[in-house]
Amino acid sequence: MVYSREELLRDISKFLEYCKQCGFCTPVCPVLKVSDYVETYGPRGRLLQGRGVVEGGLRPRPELSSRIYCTLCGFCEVKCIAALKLTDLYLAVRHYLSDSGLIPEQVKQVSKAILGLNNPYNVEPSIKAMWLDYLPERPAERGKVLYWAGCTSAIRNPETASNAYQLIKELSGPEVAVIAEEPCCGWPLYLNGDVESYKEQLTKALNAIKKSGAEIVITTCPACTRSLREKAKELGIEHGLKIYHVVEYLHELLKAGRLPKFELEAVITYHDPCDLGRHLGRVKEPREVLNSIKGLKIVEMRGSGLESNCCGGGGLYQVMHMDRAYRIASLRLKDMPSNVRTLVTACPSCEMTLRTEVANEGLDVEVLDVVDLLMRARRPQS
Amino acid sequence: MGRELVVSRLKELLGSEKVIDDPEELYVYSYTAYAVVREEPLAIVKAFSTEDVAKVLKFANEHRVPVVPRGSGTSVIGASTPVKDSIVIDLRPMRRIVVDVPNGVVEAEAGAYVDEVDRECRKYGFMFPVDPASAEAATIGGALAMDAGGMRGARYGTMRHVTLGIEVVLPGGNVITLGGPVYKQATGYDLMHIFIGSEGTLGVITRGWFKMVPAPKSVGRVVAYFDNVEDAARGVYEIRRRGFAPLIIEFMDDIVVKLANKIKGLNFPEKNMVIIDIDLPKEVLSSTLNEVAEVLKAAGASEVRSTTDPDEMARLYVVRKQAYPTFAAAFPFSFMGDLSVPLSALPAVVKKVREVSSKYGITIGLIGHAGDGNLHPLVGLQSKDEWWSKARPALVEIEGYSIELGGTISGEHGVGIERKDLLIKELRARRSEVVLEYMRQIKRIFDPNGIMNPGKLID
Repeated sequence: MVYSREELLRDISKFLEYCKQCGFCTPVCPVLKVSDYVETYGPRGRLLQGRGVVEGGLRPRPELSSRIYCTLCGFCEVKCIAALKLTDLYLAVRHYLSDSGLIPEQVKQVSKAILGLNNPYNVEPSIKAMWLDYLPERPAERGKVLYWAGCTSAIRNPETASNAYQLIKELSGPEVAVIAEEPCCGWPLYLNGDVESYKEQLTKALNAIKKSGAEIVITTCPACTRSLREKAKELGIEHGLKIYHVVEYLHELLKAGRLPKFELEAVITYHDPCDLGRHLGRVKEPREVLNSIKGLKIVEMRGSGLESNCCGGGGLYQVMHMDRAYRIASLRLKDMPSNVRTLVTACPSCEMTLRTEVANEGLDVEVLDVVDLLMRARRPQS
Repeated sequence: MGRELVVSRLKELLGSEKVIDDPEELYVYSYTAYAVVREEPLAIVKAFSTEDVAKVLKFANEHRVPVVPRGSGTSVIGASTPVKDSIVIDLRPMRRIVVDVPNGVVEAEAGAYVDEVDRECRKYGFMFPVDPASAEAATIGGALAMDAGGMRGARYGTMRHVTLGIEVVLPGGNVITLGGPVYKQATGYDLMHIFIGSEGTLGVITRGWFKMVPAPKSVGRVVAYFDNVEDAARGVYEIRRRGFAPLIIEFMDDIVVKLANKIKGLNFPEKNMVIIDIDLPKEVLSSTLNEVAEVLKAAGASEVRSTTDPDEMARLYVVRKQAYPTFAAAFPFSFMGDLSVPLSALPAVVKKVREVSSKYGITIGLIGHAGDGNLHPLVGLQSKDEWWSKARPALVEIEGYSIELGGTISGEHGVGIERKDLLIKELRARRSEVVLEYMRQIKRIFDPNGIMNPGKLID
């Protein structure tokens, strides 16, 4: 939802009336768990602070802005007895604070990096394009099908980006294009409340896609999927493109009987990314794709599907509170079934966050994306 | 003592990281699930241990600063609402749970969620007997302080019926243990039960030891639909009268079902519902479910379904689970009442609710754990302004009527701020007003300076 200041003032008060402060949202909040259960960091507290700011009971100030940032995982929404779209309300408060010039300095740097260097990680565009070096050949720059790596896959998980490209190429034919200087889709700008800059950046990204001649866009990033498809539609940007998260694409092929046979003797667990599961509603699709791999056994984590616990990697929370974000990741890793050493997910932020925490703790756990596993499953086993 | 001084002394005692007093924090902690009143405290203390609580209570008692213990703030009658110039102690950082399988006991600190304790018990084939509807958010300390009940109340009672012992911090900082991890204790006055349900007015409960019960192995569900709401209430009474001992007997009227269908997109018959769970060995389960179904038909049910299939059981329960959320989503302001009556009086109560709803022109649905006579009138309002003019007088009439029927003004939510006048009315009706004075004297014994949650339960 995109709010003007007037709409925000009107709507947030209207919506907040329905919050009964029942507290059912609080126990599932990952941020509250790693914040000593201090109410201001939980969903009810976030909402109340928003209410205080909008209705005048609280003076907006930097400390408040810092507390408003959560992972936007949306687990609270699942528990909200009034069925409020809480993450939209949190974003509305962020937008309000942004309008008031109270965006926290750390996330301001992210916005600056996107507007300056076309990625939130503040790296040169040439570094973002380095994932292409993992490929056996230089991909086409034009084609009907485009693989959109997204900033996090490209910069933080180059092997996953490479696997995704190769897999899509094998499944879709040779005309799979890649944009060498892929711009950021702008999603973090939206998360920071800078809606105008987000629209500009999103338009820039869509123009680059159109220039490639693509009709179908497949990405490994569920946040990019939300941005390019859902948010663009909400903003009234008609682009005529078919945007898929790679799991959605694979699932469509599976249902059409066009997914090749995969085989891998392995026991894995699947972590539902919040953006793909709760926000895009794709819970059964990744499992059906994974279950199509002969010999593979999925053992569910404690907390899965719509009730999956967050990894700590979303909502720019990590930028604001890095230590706590990794404590959330640590909690998520404790949800793994005993005796399972492979964790598969379908989001580059989840992959990066969980993999980093695995390294921090020195755990014997491998973190993979669905495409990494499928590439492994298509090769003859040694 | 001024706010700054209180905060600085607390920080000296506990360390600054455990004391919070930013404007946002004071504002947020002023709210609880009791939407009628809010008040900002002086400061909030995050309690990580019994020692932390003891330090606060010693200081607060010396300086006569009011203290309000708090778990998740889910009390709908204002028990956890801060009072003016008070210190709120948030007990949620205290969350240790220990399951003692050989002794059939679970120990839990005050901040652990009730549902979390239940999940720990279930790892070993047991369950926590008390299951408040708010179990996912309600804490053990809050459940003890409020003597919480739940759906399984007809079988296992409320918190006081499953608690073996508690640890309490008294004003002044002394820590006492009442009872303990044993199933029997005949050692004089039972002070533990004075603290359970005392709503934080005597001390802070920091830990408890509880009975675990075996988790049922085979459960079946009977769902009956009644055209007439009084027949449904009579059905509940008949089940108990004929000697069945269900795990749960839930009730909801057609007003709630109709609204749930509309708001939550469900498709249930828009009638009054009784839901009964029976847990028995597989060999006798089906035949017992049939017997229960026959009793409900004889009581006037127009349609009865029974099943032992877990998926079907869950499907049939969806509407009950969505009852409170329906009111929360449908109305900007909603309130849940609470009363308990002898089972034979259930038909009279449901009739009264209809009359009162029509008299005040407001929506009042009815749900409840009817197996123990406990009903919750659900009031939905389009504006909070209607609370004082319509909703509260309506609830006072309904809950007051339960006294006339030999019942009580609260089955499981407590008195708090909301029902102090009704408590007096109930005691007066029983010609037992002197009980209030006994309660005041008890409070003076444990809390001579009156610092513990003042203004709640009794004045």
